[in-house]
Amino acid sequence: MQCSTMITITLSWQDVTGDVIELPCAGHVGDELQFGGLEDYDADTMVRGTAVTNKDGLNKLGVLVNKPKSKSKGGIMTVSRMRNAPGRRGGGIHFLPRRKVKVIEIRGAKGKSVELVKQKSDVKNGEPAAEDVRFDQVKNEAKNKMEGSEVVMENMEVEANGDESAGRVGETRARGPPQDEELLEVPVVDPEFATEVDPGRERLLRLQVEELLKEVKLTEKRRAGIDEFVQVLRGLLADLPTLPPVQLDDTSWLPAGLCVPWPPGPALPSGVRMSLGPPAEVKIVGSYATSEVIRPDICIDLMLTMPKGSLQERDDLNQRYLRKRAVYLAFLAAHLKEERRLGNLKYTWLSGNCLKPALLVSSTGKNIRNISFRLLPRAGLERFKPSRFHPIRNNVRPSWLSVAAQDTDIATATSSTEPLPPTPCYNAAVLNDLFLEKHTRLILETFSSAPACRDGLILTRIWLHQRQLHQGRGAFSGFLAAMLAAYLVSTGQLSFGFDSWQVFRCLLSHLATSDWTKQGITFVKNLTLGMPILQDFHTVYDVVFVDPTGYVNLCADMTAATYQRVSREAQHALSVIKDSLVNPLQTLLLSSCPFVLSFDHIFSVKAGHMPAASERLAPNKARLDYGGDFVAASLSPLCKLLSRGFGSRVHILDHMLIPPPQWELNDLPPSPDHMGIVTFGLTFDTACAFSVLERGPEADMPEVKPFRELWGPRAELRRFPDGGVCEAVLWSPGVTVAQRRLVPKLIVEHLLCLHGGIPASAITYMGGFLDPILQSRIKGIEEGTGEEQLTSIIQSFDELCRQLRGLEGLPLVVTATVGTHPALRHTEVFPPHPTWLNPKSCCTSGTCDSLAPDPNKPCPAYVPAITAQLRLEGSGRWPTCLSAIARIRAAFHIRLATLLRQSHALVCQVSQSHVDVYKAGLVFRLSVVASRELTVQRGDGGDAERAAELVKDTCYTPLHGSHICGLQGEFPAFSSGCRLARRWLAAHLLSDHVPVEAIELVAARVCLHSIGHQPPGSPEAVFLQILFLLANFDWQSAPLLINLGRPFKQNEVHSIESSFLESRESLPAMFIGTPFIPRSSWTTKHPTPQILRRLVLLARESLRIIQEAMIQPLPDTDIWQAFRPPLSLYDALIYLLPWHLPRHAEALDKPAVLLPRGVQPAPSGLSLPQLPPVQYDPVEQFLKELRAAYDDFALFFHDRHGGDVIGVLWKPQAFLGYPFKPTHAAARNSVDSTATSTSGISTSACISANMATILADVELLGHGLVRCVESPKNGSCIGDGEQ
Amino acid sequence: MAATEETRESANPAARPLVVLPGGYRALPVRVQERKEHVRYIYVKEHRVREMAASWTPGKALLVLGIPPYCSQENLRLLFGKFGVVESVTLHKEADIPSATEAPSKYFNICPAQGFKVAVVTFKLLQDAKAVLSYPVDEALDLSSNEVPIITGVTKWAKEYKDKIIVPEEMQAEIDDYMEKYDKKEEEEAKKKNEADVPDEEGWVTVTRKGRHRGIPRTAVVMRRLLQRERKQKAQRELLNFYTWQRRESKRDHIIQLRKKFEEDKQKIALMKAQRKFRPF
Repeated sequence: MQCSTMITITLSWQDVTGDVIELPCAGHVGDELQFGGLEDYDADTMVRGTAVTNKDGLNKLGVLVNKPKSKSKGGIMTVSRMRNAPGRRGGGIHFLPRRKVKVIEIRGAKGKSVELVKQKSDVKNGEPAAEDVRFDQVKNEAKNKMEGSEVVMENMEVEANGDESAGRVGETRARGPPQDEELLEVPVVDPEFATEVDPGRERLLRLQVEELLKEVKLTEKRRAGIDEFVQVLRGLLADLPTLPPVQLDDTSWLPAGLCVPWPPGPALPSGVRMSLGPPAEVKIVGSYATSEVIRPDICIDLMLTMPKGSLQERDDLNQRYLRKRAVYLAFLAAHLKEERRLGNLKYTWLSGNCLKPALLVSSTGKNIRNISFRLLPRAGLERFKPSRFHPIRNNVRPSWLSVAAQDTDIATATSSTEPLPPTPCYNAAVLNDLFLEKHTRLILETFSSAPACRDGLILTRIWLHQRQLHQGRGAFSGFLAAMLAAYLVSTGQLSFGFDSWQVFRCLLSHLATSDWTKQGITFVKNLTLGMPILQDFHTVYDVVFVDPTGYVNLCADMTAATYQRVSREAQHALSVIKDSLVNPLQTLLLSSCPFVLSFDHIFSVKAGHMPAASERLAPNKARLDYGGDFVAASLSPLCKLLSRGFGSRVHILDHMLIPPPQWELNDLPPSPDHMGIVTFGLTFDTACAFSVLERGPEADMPEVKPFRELWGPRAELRRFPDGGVCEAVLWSPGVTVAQRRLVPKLIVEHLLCLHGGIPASAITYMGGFLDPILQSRIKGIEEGTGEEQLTSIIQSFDELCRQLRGLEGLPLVVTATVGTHPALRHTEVFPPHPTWLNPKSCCTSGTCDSLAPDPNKPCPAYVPAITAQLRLEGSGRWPTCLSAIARIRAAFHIRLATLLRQSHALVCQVSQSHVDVYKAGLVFRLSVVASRELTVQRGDGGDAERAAELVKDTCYTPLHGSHICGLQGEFPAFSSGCRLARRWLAAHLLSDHVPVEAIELVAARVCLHSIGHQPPGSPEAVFLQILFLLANFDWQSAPLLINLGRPFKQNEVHSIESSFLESRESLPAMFIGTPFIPRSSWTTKHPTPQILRRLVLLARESLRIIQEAMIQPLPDTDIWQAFRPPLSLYDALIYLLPWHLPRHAEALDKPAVLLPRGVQPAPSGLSLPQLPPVQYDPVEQFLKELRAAYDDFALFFHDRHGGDVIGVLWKPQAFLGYPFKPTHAAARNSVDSTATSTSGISTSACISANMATILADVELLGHGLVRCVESPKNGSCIGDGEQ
Repeated sequence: MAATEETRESANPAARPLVVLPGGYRALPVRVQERKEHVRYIYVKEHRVREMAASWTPGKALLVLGIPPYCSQENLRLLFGKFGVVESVTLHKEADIPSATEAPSKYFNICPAQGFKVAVVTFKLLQDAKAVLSYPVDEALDLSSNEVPIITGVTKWAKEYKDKIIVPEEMQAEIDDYMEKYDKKEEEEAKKKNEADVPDEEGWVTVTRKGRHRGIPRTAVVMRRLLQRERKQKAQRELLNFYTWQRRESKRDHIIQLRKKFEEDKQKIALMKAQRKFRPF
């Protein structure tokens, strides 16, 4: 039956040039069809297809077309495609009764003539009846996707029994499934993608992309305004006067005060003349021309061809062309300055290259505010031969430079016998000017018919912008991205069928996988004689991307470091796209990732030392090739030197790109080192970055020489434990982890000093600059940031665990000990250190083992209890009553204490809920978990709230602890970064309002889903990224999910996300989910939405302060400002006496006088030490009392690490008058009795609270601790305690 | 000292008449020695309980609300001692005072003594209690004196710490005592339970609700688990893609689902757009 159906189909093929070839073919269903006609084109191009029907039978016909084999050169296959199903685009042709053809138009359809001849046997009647249905001008534009192996065309609906068709179709639509128009609205899901991520996410992403594009694209109104303004500009330029030839070194013809934006370097010899006049041609080039311009900083490039006669022979030599260009700009500026229709005029450098100034014209118009127009003069194409700018040729003669600069050094350095050094950057600078228009045209032509591709390029531009890669000398500009896209189209890797997101991904995946520093790419396929080959480019440039002319390297100024960073960023972007827990749009396109956040350590070098360094590293290059831009000239050799020195220690080493400056017409151009500093960033491979020993080659290997040359006097021969005798470099930073983290600093200082002559004083190294915050101020352990203490605490704990498991005589065996204290998971800000107290500083208690605090002496040193839980073997003999369970637990604790004392001579102190064990100067607080308790609480007579608490304490806390502890092994910077964040939080008096676990989870998220191109590798980086996340995460509309412990499953993410939006109001303000504890158990009560808002603000502000201080390290910037709480916003401040602050030494600013806290060295001998007061901090007690009493009236804020002030915020509604109710009785201290009636019973008497009385009571409650209470808002100070 | 207006006003109590508040409460002005200028109010009324104990004499006990956190039993004794002989003072956390179910213990079931409290003060004589309720607000009463000071701040916390240090032997003794009683009780209950279905000497069987087959407890957890199991079994029994209509329906549902999600997404986008979330720079 099927064989009887014969179809004839014609495909149209449009190649790049626009020629259309028609490929007709006919065959039966099941036959293979060969669409001839492309033979002339390329031998390999043969379109094959198979005629098919769908499974239902004959009413749908189609053809399966194999992909034309490669080399299709980006042509467009336009087919008569009849398809209206989800997943594919295209038009549909329905065969209606009496063989009439109806075409259903689809969106985006364009007029293309497709011919379709159909011969069909009438199946129903059994007798073949050939019939031609010929129709022209079928409006259909269906593009085959080129990337798949085959493209299915089907669903050519043939309604064999046409009588009933119309009605039936209507019926089925009413019931549901495929309504064509509606389904078209559902965006296409990339099938390749659907396997990786959830299609729903993909769909949402596409909608978001659409919105984003709308936001950045220019509106029609503004476009019209721009076009109008360009017309005005054209008119003005055409009206420029023609001047007689002027001397180049004589600028007297210019209006007074106006400066020529000369490139740096010596002036030209006198006698060079140029004539000035209106430009020969004015053209729009760049991003506006190719409709890729994005808001907000819109810049429209106008290319002005300098008039004939302005340039002479050999102007290509010795910067003559560039200098004439500068003069021409001054000429333009002189005549446009007075024009009223134009706004402000300024000079700038084109793409940060100081050889190429440009004139910026700001617009004045209604719809075109904040738009600038850049005037770029250039020579006519016919003026210079491109072959003169072959990359390895010299166009700036050293002899000229030496004569002009009256400098004999250069002449002697390059004697006449040697070949002239190539000037690749100079060559590229001139060539770029020449071919600017050609490149624009190429982009325009390639993407004229593919708006989706243009959108993709816009996305790429946004991405580059957000990563700060888009401007400055050697930047990866949007233009470069467009050229790359054009290249990918020419190689067939990018198809016009892609949508914008796919184009973006395609560009990313090319960048992620290619290495232009080793294997450059080129448009040119067939080289002609004399054209430079790729190898030529590689010898003189770091990064190679050759344009279609074959002479221009588009990446001439880019350093290898920058390219590697781009490549790394692209890899990161692809991983973000795959990560189902991160919104790729938010991370990649909607939030910016500044330079300092992308790197682990930052260092900056004073630019004043750059000339000397560049002369030493690359002699003469800066003056000849870079025209005197020493900074740019030294970047590449410096980066190369440093990355050689670092080897595998760093992943990425890059310098910061400096946005081009702008200056007034009356000013001289700024010097190329106008920033004053050059900033570099390092990201580490944390496995080996901080090792103190660098093992080099073996003593007798040929690599010894370069090794010794690199390291100079630091290289030495060493014998290694494996018997090898090798060259090695040993760094001796110190013993602590924090000091070892500064090994890279030593390397940088050594290498820069040895090879660049840059002294250490000129280097500002921003690594470990936050370490002082974590350093303990207690005598004897000043150095180090606590990592060592944390390790030793865990060791002591492990030993205790061993002892516990080995105890004999307990009724039930201890099966596990689980640490629940942050110190046991590496996140305690100031890890407890071993403390022994002098009994004289305390008073002895009833039992001889324990000391109790004495209120008349300074508060003894704070000894925190390191909490842990004991799990016992299962037993059925636990009682079933809660109070009995509590007593049995207490009995367990007593027994435990006795046994530990007997068998291990440990001092213990028993309590109802725990037992404190004093071991090696640390106090461990062990509590037995009674598994029966949870069952009873969950049962009939239990308390649901208490049960939930129990679950949290006994199930979730240990689980959380083990996962967080595991992270530390994977990310060495995690611990200190998280501790910094906790310290920051406490410094802003918020530590009691944000749970520890929440901050730990945020830190975990930062490490597991980094915003930078790799997980942060230094504590500062972790800390800054935590601040960044706190400040930028959309807490209101998205849950923060973390793959902690194991990755989330797709459906889990889905269910959390969908339930999140539905029940947003009832969920915690800060929602953090992990696979094992998905319901954000830690943040149910805290932080409240108000606190979270405040947290976000604080994070944003602190981040800004630290970033500024890192980029511009000025001597007077105070980085601690980010840690100082603004006290002015509190309603009242309670100042405390340091006398009773046991942790006063932990304060951010080290107190001038440290009170004696009774600490003494470890007692020797057999006498057992006495247990110091555990967890005794009067401030904590005070806060607890305050919160218990005045929770309804005020919020209390305090820095638990030595803060000597408590901030009070009133809850205003609590101070209104209330009618008396027993529940309102507390603290309502004033009675409004005016309404008392004569009978004596008042029905409307109001009671209200009184702030002054509350503050007086607060002072009373904190007797001995409070110095004074101030309420700055009223300007009053209430009470003054004894000093 | 900059006292606010209200404070100054309340510092002159002579102007204030006796205030009777809803519920029969009266405001009683008090002050502490250390801060004489601030007057606080506590609220007093006659304490009534539903279940009268034998020893209970109505009218002798007063319920006192809004007792500041620094005020101890001694302070209250001092305050009310002015009116007569105070028999007992008990402090509680909340206004609805629970009846004690267990014998008081030195170590267990201790309610935290923080925040504002409620007290029950019992006078020896009825008229003394009456005198409190009809106390005219002439002058604020003293909560503390030189002999009975208010103990707060560092002194209090140090004392609390010292008091919390436990002598294990004493606690062990209390526990042993309690557990002995508990065991005995348990034993008796078990005995009773065993005897429940056994005929006694005269052949009588005590019939209880809890028979031999008690059935499952109808708690939420158990019910949820049962439902889950049932659903799972049902799902295993059913073939979901057997009939053509089933497949068609599932496809249709899928598309409807898709559409719904698409609509949701659109809403989400609209929301984000309204919040200006799409501004990249």
